[in-house]
Amino acid sequence: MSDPLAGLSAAPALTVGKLRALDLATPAAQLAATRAAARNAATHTLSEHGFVLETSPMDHWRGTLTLPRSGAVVPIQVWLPAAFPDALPKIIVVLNALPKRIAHVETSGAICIAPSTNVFVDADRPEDLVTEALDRATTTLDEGILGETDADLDAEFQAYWDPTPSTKILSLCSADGLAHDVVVCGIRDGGLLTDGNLLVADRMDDAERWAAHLGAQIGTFSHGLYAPVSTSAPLPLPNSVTTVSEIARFIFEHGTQAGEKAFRKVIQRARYPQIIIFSMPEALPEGGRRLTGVRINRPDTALLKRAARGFRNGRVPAARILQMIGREGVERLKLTRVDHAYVSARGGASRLAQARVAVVGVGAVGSEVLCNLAALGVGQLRLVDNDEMDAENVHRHALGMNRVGYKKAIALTIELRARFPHLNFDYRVTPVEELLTSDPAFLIETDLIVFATGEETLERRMNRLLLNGPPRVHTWLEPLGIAGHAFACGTPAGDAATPGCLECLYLADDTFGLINRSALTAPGQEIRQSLAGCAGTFSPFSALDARRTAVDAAELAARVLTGTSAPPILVSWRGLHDGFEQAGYALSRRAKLIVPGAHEEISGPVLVRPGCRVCSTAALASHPTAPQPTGQ
Amino acid sequence: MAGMQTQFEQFHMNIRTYYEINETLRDKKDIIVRRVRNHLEKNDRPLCTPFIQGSYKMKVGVCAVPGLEYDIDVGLRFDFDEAAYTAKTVRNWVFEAVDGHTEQVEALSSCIRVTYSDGYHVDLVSYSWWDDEKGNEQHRLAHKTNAWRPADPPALVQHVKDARKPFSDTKDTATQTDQSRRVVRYLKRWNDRAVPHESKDKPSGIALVLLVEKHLPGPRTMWDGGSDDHASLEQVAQAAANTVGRISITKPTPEYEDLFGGISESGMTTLKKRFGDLHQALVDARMTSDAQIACKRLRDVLGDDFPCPDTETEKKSQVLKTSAPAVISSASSA
Repeated sequence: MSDPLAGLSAAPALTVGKLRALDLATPAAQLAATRAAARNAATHTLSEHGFVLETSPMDHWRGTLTLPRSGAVVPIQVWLPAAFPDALPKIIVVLNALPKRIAHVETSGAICIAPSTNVFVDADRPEDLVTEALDRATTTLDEGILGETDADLDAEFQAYWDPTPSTKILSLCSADGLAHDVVVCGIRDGGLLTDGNLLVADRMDDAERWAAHLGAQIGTFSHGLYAPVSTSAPLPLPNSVTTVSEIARFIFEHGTQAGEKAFRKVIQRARYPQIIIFSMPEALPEGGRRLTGVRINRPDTALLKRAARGFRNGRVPAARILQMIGREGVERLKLTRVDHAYVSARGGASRLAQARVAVVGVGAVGSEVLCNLAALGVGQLRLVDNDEMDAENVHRHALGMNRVGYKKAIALTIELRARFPHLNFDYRVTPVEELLTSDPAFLIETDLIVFATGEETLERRMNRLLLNGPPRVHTWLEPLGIAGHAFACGTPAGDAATPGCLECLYLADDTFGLINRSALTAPGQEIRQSLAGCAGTFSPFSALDARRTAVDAAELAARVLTGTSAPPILVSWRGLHDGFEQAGYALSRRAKLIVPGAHEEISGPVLVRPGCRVCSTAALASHPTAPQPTGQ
Repeated sequence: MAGMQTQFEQFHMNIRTYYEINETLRDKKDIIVRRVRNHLEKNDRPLCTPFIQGSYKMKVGVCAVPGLEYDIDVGLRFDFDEAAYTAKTVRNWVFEAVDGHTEQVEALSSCIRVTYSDGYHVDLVSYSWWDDEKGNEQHRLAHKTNAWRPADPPALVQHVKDARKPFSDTKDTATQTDQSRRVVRYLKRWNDRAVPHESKDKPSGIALVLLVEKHLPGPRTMWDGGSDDHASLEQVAQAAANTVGRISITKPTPEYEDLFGGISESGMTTLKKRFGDLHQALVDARMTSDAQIACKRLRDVLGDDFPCPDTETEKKSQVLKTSAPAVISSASSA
């Protein structure tokens, strides 16, 4: 074999760090000129539509829209944002001129003329942008006035409910369940959170654990009420006040009996402020519930005294109190949901909330697998690794320089808890073999185990020992950016082991001993590890190699956990760059079947090796069951 | 059960024979060739140069099943043109040379066959071999009834060699045999096992070589790049079974005859059914998840040389010693 270092001289010259021909001031000047020209063009177009320039407080154009179907004539203002023509004109309707509340019109009067995402504009046609914006505003207003978009109002509930929230309220409350008391905590020493914000939770320990994961502390707390209702709260008119009476009526008419009873108790208790959280159905095809709330601040003391007149302390009927304070205004609240079900749904895999996954090996691949599984919403993640973070790992590990010297499993647990405080993380800084003795339940009482140790001997051993245990995903990288693999095997809990295991990937060869059939590296070669790990030489993107392998492994784990795919499955990618062969190393026969840069997935019986000493019919008949947990 | 390559390669090991290892056949061939040369020399006749042809030249020899003999085809190259001597004359020279060597010496249509009592026979095929006025090599085969017949043994060998080029990466470690040759051997054994005697309704060895060439133009591999003999044999069997009308393979050299042309209509029907049965057995074996059942199903069509270890044997084989390294370079990291 030739000297692998010879490949270094063939490395392409760097293309970063060179001086550019572009003058530093040119882009800004070009942008200013483009915007000025666009404004001129837009001004001309608006004039043609009969709009008049107003210069106070800033330049905008005033005019009317004649709605062809409803026949209404609506006064509007057109504002050109600074970013025009890269941003659409803003069109504001005078709200008093509208006969009713209209969907897609904000409380400020701004008409939503295009979604904020998933659109882009042709900035080379500023005139057309103006015309089209006016057309879209016309359509929106016309449809709204004719009642054709009333159903959309519900979807925009929150925007109307509390357009200018003063206090941020984070909610850990589940959106399901019966009426019950909740705890309302003040957040202090906020860490990642802002002091003074509130956290609402079903239970105090939920709030404490969640805040602790973020480095925050729970301060003063009070009780509140969670009340499910069967319909959306009535939309308040712009600048209107919602009263205690309206809230009471809403709960009495649309809440549950338990909710009504609890609300009366809240009123009777007369501890202020009181937070009432409503769980109301969303008018969406996919269903779901939204949380919103109100805060009843302490009413005028004179009113409370009048209500209590003639009653013993604490025995004032709720109806009497409501009669007195009914006209008092409540503070409409915007809740930011941070509960598991809600945030996991955005990751697309809320079904994984109940899943328990152990990851053995928290190195370059394992750490990224953990980040991905957490992002997918896996409810319980267990980290197993007894290595410490080294400085040379910083550029290919989920942890950074601030964690050098830490045990990887501990440091990553801390960071993941902060990122995903609603998920459960735990760790063991024990070699996995010892864990089988000291705490087997930590490994075995899971729904899936990911092995990302890169140690073939260890993983083959675990494959044998855990054959009847949870499904497993083994994932590993090959050197010099040539390949990465994720292999899933095993059966869900309760199912007997079936053929197809890690050992099936290994063939006994008279010349080389055992050969991993999935490898893209030809057998019998000693790849110099010092070079294999040297970013910038043969594998210039080694950090990405680990990440993309981790994405494959996490996706495979999720597919197995959700039952959408059945093992055995092998997912492999082949690297694009040719440093591997330039360094004098040979590719396996499998590598010749995979185009550089391609992904390949193999699944099913073809992965089962007849006569496998671990999972063949004969082997399964004599295989001992997995180690039993000791009940820890 | 997919991935039975180990069993197929073991089967190949079990059934294959080749010139270098078949000492008995080699000795018998050497004795006969020496006898022919001596006879020609003694009678002042043109000398000949012997060369191996047939299954040993094509490297697809299989061990004989009970009821069949080991055979070897030996070409005798006479360096004169077809006008110098008649085919009959040349065949007589050869016949005279070996007559009485064993109890059974026969003049067959294209050869003189010397049969030994211990289950071997040697076929001697005589050729007239010369360069014409343009410098082109000419060959004629001495036929019993049709005098000199056009033939081109070197071109046929080259044709087969060329067809096998795509299979160069499919050689097994143990025998260094490519997939194309292995598949021919599987078919030969399947053929001999079904018809354990000589028959006009039985495809010849060269017919099977060219059938494989036609229906297996390139190697079939498994996901790991290793050979998939199961799939390749299945492919050939299916194609042959589903042939519309008669199976027909034209020999690529003179006389460009249909190598399946001698099979009767009823024989062709039977042959196609046999290919269908082979295909079905291969499919059945592939579909089952039990290796034992798969092996047994393949034994139905390929015979008992197809390895089918029972559970106990399988267990024992898992602890067999090997001289392969136990400390192995790993390319894994994480």
